[in-house]
Amino acid sequence: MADDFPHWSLGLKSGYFKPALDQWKTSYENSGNIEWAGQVGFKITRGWELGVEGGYFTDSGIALTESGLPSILNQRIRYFPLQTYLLYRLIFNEDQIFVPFAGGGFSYIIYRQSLEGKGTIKGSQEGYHARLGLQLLLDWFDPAAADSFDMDLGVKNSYLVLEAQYSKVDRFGSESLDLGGWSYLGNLLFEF
Amino acid sequence: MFRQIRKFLLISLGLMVSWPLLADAEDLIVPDQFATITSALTRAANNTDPTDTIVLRRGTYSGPVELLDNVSLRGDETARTIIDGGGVSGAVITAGSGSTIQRLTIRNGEIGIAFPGTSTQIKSVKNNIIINNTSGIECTSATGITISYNTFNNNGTAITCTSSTTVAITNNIISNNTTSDITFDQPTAVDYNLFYNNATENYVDTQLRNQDLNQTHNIFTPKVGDANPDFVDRNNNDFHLQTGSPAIGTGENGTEIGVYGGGNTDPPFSVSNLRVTPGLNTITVEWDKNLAYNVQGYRVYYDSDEANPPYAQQFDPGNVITSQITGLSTSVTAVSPPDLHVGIGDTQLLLYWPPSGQASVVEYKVYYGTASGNYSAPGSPVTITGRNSSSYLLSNLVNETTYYMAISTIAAPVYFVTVAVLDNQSGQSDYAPVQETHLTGNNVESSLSTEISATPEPIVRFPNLPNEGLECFIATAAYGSPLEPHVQILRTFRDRHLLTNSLGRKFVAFYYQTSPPLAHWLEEHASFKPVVRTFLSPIVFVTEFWMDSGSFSQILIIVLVLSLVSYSVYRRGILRWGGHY
Repeated sequence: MADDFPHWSLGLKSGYFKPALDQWKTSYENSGNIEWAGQVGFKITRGWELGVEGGYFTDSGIALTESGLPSILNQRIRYFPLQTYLLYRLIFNEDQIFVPFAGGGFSYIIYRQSLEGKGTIKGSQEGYHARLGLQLLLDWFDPAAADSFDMDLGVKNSYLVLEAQYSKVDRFGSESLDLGGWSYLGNLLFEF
Repeated sequence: MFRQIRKFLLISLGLMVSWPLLADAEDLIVPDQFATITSALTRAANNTDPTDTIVLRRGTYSGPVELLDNVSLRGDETARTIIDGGGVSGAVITAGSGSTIQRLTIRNGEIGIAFPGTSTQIKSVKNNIIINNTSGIECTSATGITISYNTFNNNGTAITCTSSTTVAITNNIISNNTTSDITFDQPTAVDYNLFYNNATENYVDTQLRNQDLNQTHNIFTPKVGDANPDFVDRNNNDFHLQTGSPAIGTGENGTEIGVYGGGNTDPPFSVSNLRVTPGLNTITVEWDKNLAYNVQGYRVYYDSDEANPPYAQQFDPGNVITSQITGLSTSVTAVSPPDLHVGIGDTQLLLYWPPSGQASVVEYKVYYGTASGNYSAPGSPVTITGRNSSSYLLSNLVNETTYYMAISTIAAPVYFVTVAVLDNQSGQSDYAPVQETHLTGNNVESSLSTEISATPEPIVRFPNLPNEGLECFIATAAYGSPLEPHVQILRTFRDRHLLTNSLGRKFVAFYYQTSPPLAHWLEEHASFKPVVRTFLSPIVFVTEFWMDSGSFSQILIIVLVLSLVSYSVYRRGILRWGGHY
C-alpha cells in the first residue's frame, strides 16, 4: 500500500542570524545580519525527517586594533553553513494546520574572512545545532490554489514555517571561538 | 434699473476674465513663463489672437512639437536651442498654417519639419540648422512656404515637397546629405543656395542643370567639388563660416548664405582650449583661434573673486591668440588651518580634514613627530597639493609609538580668467570655461592647527580565525574531498604542530612545493587511491592518537620510540660485526 504522505520537501529560508561571539556588535556595528538558506528533506515516516541544509551569511564592518579601537581598515566575514539534520514533526494527518517540530544535527561552517589590504583567510569549523519551529499549512487558506499547485507542479503541501535554531560550532569544544549562534528564520516549505 | 445694473456688472466681469484672452499677440517664453512647450501651446490655444510666438530659451527640448495655426516657434540662439526628435518616427516639428520656425537646431527625426495639408497662409522656415533627419523638411500638398537662410547637413534628403506650390527655397546651404538634396515637383524659386557633396543631386541634376545656369545664383558642383562651404566645425554643430567660404556674400543682396545669413546675429562659438600660465605678478593667457570669418577680436576677463563672469577687469588684446595680464596684486591673507582628525592602522595613521573653501589655498602641510610640539620625524612636513585634498596616509610608522600631528594651509594670490570672442557686429560669444590660477612665489603659510596624537597598532581580525586555506593536496586527492575526516585530522596536525615551529614550517613549505604534481598524478590514476589511503591510514591514526594524547603521553611515546629505535640499531650493529648480545 503506498504511503499517504509526501516524502520529499524543499524549503527556502531567510531570517536573522545572531552570532554567539561577544563583541560582534563592536566590530560589525550590529548584533547580527540576514541569513539565507535552503533545505532538502526526506521523510522516513510521516513524523521523522532527514535532511540537509546549506546557507549563506555575511557581515562587514570596521576592523579593530589590538586595543579595541576602530581602525582605518574594513573587514568582511562570510559563513557558508552546511547542516545535516534529523527532526520530528508532531503530525497526525496531512490536513493538520499547525505542525510543531523539533530536531537537530551536525553543523559545518566554511568561513571566508577578508581584511582590507591583508587578503582573505579561509577555513572551516564543525559543531552541532538544534532546531524548533512551527509549520503552518497554507493549503488550508486556499484549497483551490493548493489543488492547482498539486496538479501543475506536484506540490502536495505548502507550509509557512517559523523556526529558531541554536548552533554551537566550536569543533565540539576544542576551539575557543564558537561560530554558532541563534537563527530566527522564516521558511517556505514545499512537500512533493 | 436693477436689471440694467446687473447686466452691466456681468459684462464688466466677462471682460475682466476674458481680457487676457483678447490680448495682443504675445511671446510665450519657455521655460521662464511656461515649464514646457506643451503648456505654452495650451496657453496659445486659449488665446483668441492667434499670432503668438513660443520663444525657447537655450537648451535641448524633446519633440514632437505640433504647432497651432499662426503660432510660431523661435529659439534664443540657433546652435544652442535644440529640438531633438529622439530618432522616433514622425516629425520633430509639425507646422501650422501661418507658422514661422526660426533660430532652432532641429535634429534626429524621421522628418525635421513637416508641412501637412493645404493652406493659404504664408509659412516661413528661417535661420535653422536642420541636421541628422531622414528628411529635413517635408511638405505635402502645401502652399506658400519660404525656406531661407537655413543649413541642411547630414540628413537623408534635405527637402521633399510633393504636390506643393508657391514654395521658395533661397539662401540655404544644402550639404553632406546622404540621399539627396531636394526632391521636388513644382518649385517656385530655387535660388542663391549652395549645394555641396550631397549623395545625389536630384534637383540640381534634373532641374537646374536643364536650365540656363546664368539665370540662377545657385552654387553647385559635382559630388566632389570645390564649393565647400567651409564650416568652422560641423561635427560640433558649429556651422559658422570660415574665411574664404563661397557662401560669404553670395546670397541675395550680398548676404551670407546659410543659417547665419539674413539677419541672424548669433555670435561665434566661445574660445576653446583656454590655457593660463601664472608668474610672479603676471598671467600668460593662450587659446585656440576661432575660425569664424566674422571674428573681430577677443576680450580677456579676470578677477580675484570666485564669482562667475562677467568680471570687472577686462581688456581687448585684439585678434590674437595669446595675451598677458600684468601688474597683478600679490597680496594674500593666510587661511586658518582646518581641524585635523586621525584614523589608526597597522604602522599607519590616516589623517583627514575638511577641505578649505578658500580659493587662495593651494596646498596643505602636515607636520608630525614623536614628541608633542616637535615635528621632526623623517619626512616631516609633508606637502599635499590641491585645495580639495582632504586626507593623507602616514605610512611606515612604528607600532605602539605615539605620534603628534598638526596641519597648516598654504595660500597664494588667486585669479580667475576667461576669454570671449568678439564679432564684427558688436556681438560677444559665451565665456570660455573659467581657468583658476595662483601666482607663483607669493605663498603664505598659516599657523598650525590644534595638535592631535595617535598610536598606530596592529589590526586584529574579528573573530580571529585560523587560516586553513592551504589544502592537503595528496590526502585530498586520495580521500576525494577536503572535508573528509582523515584530511581534517592531518590539517589540524599541520596547524597545531607543524606551522608553530621553524622546522615544521620548512617541512610544510617543502610539502606544498612538491605535492601538487603528485596529487595531480593521483587524480589521473584513480586506481592508486586505495593504495595511497592504505599508506596514509596509519599516519592518520598515529596523528590522531598524538593529538589526542596529553603532554605526558606524548613524552612517553617519544621515549618509547627512541628506545625502540636505539635497540634496533644496536642489535643490527652487533649482528653485522658478528657479535653476540
